[in-house]
Amino acid sequence: MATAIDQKHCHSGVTVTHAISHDDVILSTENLTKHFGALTAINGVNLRIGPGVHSIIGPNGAGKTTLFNLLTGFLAPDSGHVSYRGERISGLPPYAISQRGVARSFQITSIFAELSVFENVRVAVQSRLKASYNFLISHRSLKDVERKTAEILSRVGLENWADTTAKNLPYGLQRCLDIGISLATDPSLVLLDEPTSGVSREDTTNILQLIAAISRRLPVVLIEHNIDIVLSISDMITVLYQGVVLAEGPPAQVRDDERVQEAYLGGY
Amino acid sequence: MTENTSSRSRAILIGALLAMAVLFPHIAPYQALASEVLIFALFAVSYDLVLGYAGMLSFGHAAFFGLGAYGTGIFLVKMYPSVPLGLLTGLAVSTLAALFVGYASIRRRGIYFTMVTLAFAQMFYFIAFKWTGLTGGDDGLQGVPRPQLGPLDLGPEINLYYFVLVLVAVSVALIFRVVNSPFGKTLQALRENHNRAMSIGYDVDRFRLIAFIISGFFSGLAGGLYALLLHFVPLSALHWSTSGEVVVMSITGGMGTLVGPILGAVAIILLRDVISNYTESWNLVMGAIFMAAVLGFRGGIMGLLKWRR
Repeated sequence: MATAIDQKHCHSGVTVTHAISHDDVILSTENLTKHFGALTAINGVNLRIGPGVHSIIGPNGAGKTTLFNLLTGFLAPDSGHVSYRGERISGLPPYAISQRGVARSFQITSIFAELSVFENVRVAVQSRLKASYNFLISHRSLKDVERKTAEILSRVGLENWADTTAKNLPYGLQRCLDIGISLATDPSLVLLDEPTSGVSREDTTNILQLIAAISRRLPVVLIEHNIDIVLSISDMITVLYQGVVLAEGPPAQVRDDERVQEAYLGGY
Repeated sequence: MTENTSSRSRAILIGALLAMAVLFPHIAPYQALASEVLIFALFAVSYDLVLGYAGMLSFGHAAFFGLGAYGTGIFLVKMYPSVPLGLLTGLAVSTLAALFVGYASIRRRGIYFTMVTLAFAQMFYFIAFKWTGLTGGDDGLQGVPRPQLGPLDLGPEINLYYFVLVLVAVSVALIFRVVNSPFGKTLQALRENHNRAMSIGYDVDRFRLIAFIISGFFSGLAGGLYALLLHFVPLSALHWSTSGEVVVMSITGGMGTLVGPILGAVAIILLRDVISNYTESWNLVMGAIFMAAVLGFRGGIMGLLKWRR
């Protein structure tokens, strides 16, 4: 997917921008800003998300999760806006943004703990239907939903866990379920917030394969702490530092950026 | 097939329950008590939709029960002696009230939601208390008739019991359908995880409001039947302690199961009747049983039954 990224060096010398050809941009932000009291968590961020894996990295407190919350309607920006497929979505509630095709997972595993693994995904598949408001038919009558659910479960490797109560799943598989719930909404863009955090090395490999597979079909925005993972999987990287975009570009370039090295070394 | 055996065992269970319900008034200490048990079972099941399935602790459900009772009673006393029209009036009043209270409270979460529902219920209570001309105030609404329903004379307690049984059975069947519908499944998801439900595209507040209205509707039917049963609407139908009672029934029986609240209602109404024969402070004994349910057997009577298996 790296071919979709067309590098252009800006001659101003201050920042280097890597424009994605305009048609490929699915989500963008303009001067996005969010304050929490005296703290400016996100400060004038301009993002352009295109195909492939676009990672957002930065030290703790850089504003990565706040950015996701702004993109998905869990927070409203103080100024600036978010556009998705040419439509302004900032200010819309989270469910409306989901209905337009933006899916997300959460940094802290967010599943329906007391429901079965199957039901976790099934209810997410069902969310695309008006029939969700129907209280006089049996949920079993939505056969297409059940078929799609089985398909999603095998995509995320949970086909043998369908009847397990979600809270009893091993942690690594809960992370897969979280991603599966997101995929079940038939999205055209997926935002994943640290999908490998706290996961064993073996499960991490599985999750990375899953992300790679997803990114072949859909653009993925990834928040990730592990630099090695980010460098290997990303087509594009944005480095956030104290709410500001510090650097942006393909992995090789970001890796060699002095300011990035400084921020990371200084940040820890 | 497991599905066949489970649906067959379910059919047997339902058959057994219905047979028991048919025999119940002949075993119960007196026939009116049997009707009261059924009415509170319906109230508890309607309440469970909100507490057990949508995860909303309403402390104002006396409003819908009481308004259903007053709506039915006032229509029968002051307007026209027809049971179906009376019940429909009660349903309309309680459903509208649920729409109104739900709309005003649904955006609040946790304890704030609980307090807002309580505040509205208290408001209805004081309106009924003050508006003596319409409601009879503190004395309650006296002289609710039980007019003939086609060929059926609702006068004898046993006839009223079977009339109540039919309505309660149909209502409980409908509520079972609701919780197993796509809508009901969505309710359970948003009970489990509000943010996740929103992030997969569910307008959570709208689902909560619809659940609240459906619950208010069936609570109102229970109230209407209560007015018929007593020939009278006591002001206590709107009192906050009635809201408390339905919470206790749901939790003692096992919330989120529908069958649990039915068992809770049966157990509490019958026990109260038995214990009040021996002591005036039956509330103390009921309180102890409730505490045991909360501390000792989480999941209520249903939890105990499952655990034993």
